[in-house]
This record gives sequence, C-alpha cells and structure tokens, in this order.
Amino acid sequence: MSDTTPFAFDARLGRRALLRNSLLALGAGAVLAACGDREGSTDPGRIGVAAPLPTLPATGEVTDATWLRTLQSLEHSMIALYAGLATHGGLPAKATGLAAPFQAAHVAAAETLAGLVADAGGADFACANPFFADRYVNPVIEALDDTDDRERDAAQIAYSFEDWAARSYQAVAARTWSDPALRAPLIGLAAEASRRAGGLALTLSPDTLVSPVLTGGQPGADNGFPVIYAIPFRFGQISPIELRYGKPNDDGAYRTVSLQTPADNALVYDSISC
Amino acid sequence: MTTPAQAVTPDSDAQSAAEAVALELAARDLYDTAIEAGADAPIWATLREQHESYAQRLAGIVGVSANTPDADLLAGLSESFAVTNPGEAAVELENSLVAGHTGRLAAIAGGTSTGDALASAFASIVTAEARQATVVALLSGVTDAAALYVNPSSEAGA
Repeated sequence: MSDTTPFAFDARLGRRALLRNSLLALGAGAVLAACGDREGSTDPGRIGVAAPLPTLPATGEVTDATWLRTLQSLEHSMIALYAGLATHGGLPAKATGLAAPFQAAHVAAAETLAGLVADAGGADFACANPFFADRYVNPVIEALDDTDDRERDAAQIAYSFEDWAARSYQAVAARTWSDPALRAPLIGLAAEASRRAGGLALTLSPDTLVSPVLTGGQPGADNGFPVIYAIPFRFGQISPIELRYGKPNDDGAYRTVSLQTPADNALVYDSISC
Repeated sequence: MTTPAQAVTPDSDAQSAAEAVALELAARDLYDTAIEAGADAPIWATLREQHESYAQRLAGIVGVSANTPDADLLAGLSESFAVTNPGEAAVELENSLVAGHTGRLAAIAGGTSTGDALASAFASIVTAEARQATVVALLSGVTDAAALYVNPSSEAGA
C-alpha cells in the first residue's frame, strides 16, 4: 500500500492546479473585460417593480418666447382660479367687490402677454398651465367643497395666489433676457399683482398692517394659518408660499401646497399646446 | 499672486444705481419730514425704514456711498410731506419711484454678477414699492380700482 493514495495525490495536485487555473481564468477575464464591448443600458439600476419615472416634455431650446408663454399660461391659471372661486361662494364678504376688477386685470394681463409672445415669435398659449392646474389651482378649488371654513380658505387662496403671481413675475423679470426691454412690461405685471395682494391684504385684515418681521419679530398665525399683512416684507419675495387649506384630517393636519415660481417643470415649451 | 477677475459693471448700470440710491435716500428723508411734522402713524416710520434699506441694498451692490439724497426730489416734495398725514404725497412718491426703477431695470443688460444682482434688487424693490403705494392709497381713502391697482406714473403700468 502506497503512502500516496490516488485521492491524496489528486487532491495535492488539484489544489495547485486550481490555484493556477483560477489565476489564469481571472487574468483572462480581466483582459476580455477590458477589450470587450462597453455598450449597454446607461439607466441607473432600479430594485423592484415600479412605474416608469415621469419625464419632462420635449424641452427644446428655452427662449424668451418660452418664458412669455409660461407667464401667459399663469394668467389663464389665475383666471381659472377666480372662476373656480366664483362657483364656490366667491371672495370673502369683505372683499367681494374686488373679484370683478381683479378678474378683469388678469384677462388684460393675459392679452398683454399674448402680444408679447407674438412679438417674440412664439405660438399663442391661451389656456391654463397644466402643471399649475393639476397641482395648485384644481386641488384648492375642489377642497372648497369640503372645507371647515370657506371664508378663511377663500381669503387665504386669493391672497396667496395674487402674491404668488407677483413673485413669479418678479423672479422672471430679473432673469437674463435676449431682449432686456421685456423686463419693463413684466415688472409692470409684477407690480400690479403686488398691488392686488396688498389691497386684498388690507381689505381682508385691516388691523394687521405691518408684519412684525420688519421689526425683528415673527409673523403671526391663527390656528396655523398665516396672518395676512398689508406690508409683509422689506423687499419683494420670490420664495415659495405655503398655502394651507381644506379641513383637518384624522391627525388634525390641514392640506398644504407650496406655490412656487415657474421653473423647468412648469415651463410651456414649444412642444406643448393647449 | 493674482486676484480673481471682477465682473465688469457697465458705467451706465453703476450710474443708474447711484441715482436710485439718491432717490431712495430722499424718500427716506421725506418720511422723516412727515414724522417731524407730527405724522405719528406707524406706517410712516415703516416706509422710512423701507426706503433706507433699498438705498443700502443698491449702494452695496455697486459700491457707492449711501449718504447723499436727491436734492431735486427733496425740494419738490418736502412741503407736501411736512404734514401729519402725507398720504397723497406718499402715493405720488411711491408710484414715481416704481416708474423710475422700472426703466432702470429694463436698461440693465445683465450677464454680469453685478448686473444680475442689480436686476434682482430693482425687481424686488419695484414690487414692494408698488404694494406700498396701493396700501397708502387705501389708507388715504382712495376707492377707485384704476387708481389703486395701476400706476398712473408709468407707461408700463408698474
């Protein structure tokens, strides 16, 4: 009987062979990988099954006309907002008389923008902005059907949206334009929206003229709803507005929406039509 | 040692901003005149502070001193402000500033850091001053919507 059994002999040789062959295999694999085809999906990996991610519409080039079409759609969104308020009881009693002139102002602004769009070589977009309609206007109007305080919500909605319009125009007017002269009519529309916000504020809440923010304090709140001030800030703002509305859920929380100035996801690109 | 390149601000932008600083300082002084004459409603002190802040913001952007008010504006409106309720004169002042700054904003070419900062500053000042004009007009008893919500001093409507 030999000291080296076939099993032990095969095992000793097998270990060496395995090590050698493994190194060869790894080396060959590395060479093949380095020289191989690198094409393939560039999508980031995803785990699980989910709906495809939303995509932006075909953007094309963002021009002066793109921004003007977006602002035209913003005005039509405001017109839709006032129409929605009208079918849900209108503005609060203190401000009922402002509905007609404010609605007319938005119609006039939309016509002004239609002219600017045409002058800039853009296609007319005389309808509400789809992004703003789905996320801002429609939800707050629909919530008026089931709110715990219609007057409060109508006041907060009208004031917040006029302020949002002012902020939107202010932000857009300050951007770099191919034709800088466009800033004049756009800041004019910002100023008019800001005037309406100030007028609404003073009419709705005549006892809260100046925000404590201007003297280093904190703005007031009533059950979590922001107090409306006629003069709320030192400078015109472009930050988002948190609009609270509706009725509280089981946890006592109200619905909120963040009204933001137009950005890439709300632009009315050339590929979008009414 | 090298220093970072500085954005070049066109002389016209700097000159325009310097003029606006002087006008804002004059507005501040006009509200001071009203306060000294007995206008003790908090709104007047608030507006005084607003205009001083606007002057400081613009002066800081272009690097000029905020210490010389516009003499012509002061001379033209001092008498109207030397009362206990300068509402009517204040509306005229705010609307006039809005119209002037609108023109200044439209004249900024942009594309430089200073030009862009000036554009943002003028835009934020115009929206604030327009709102102030309407608030003061309402407090002064104006009820006509056309007078409240459109600027009679501006062709652009600002």
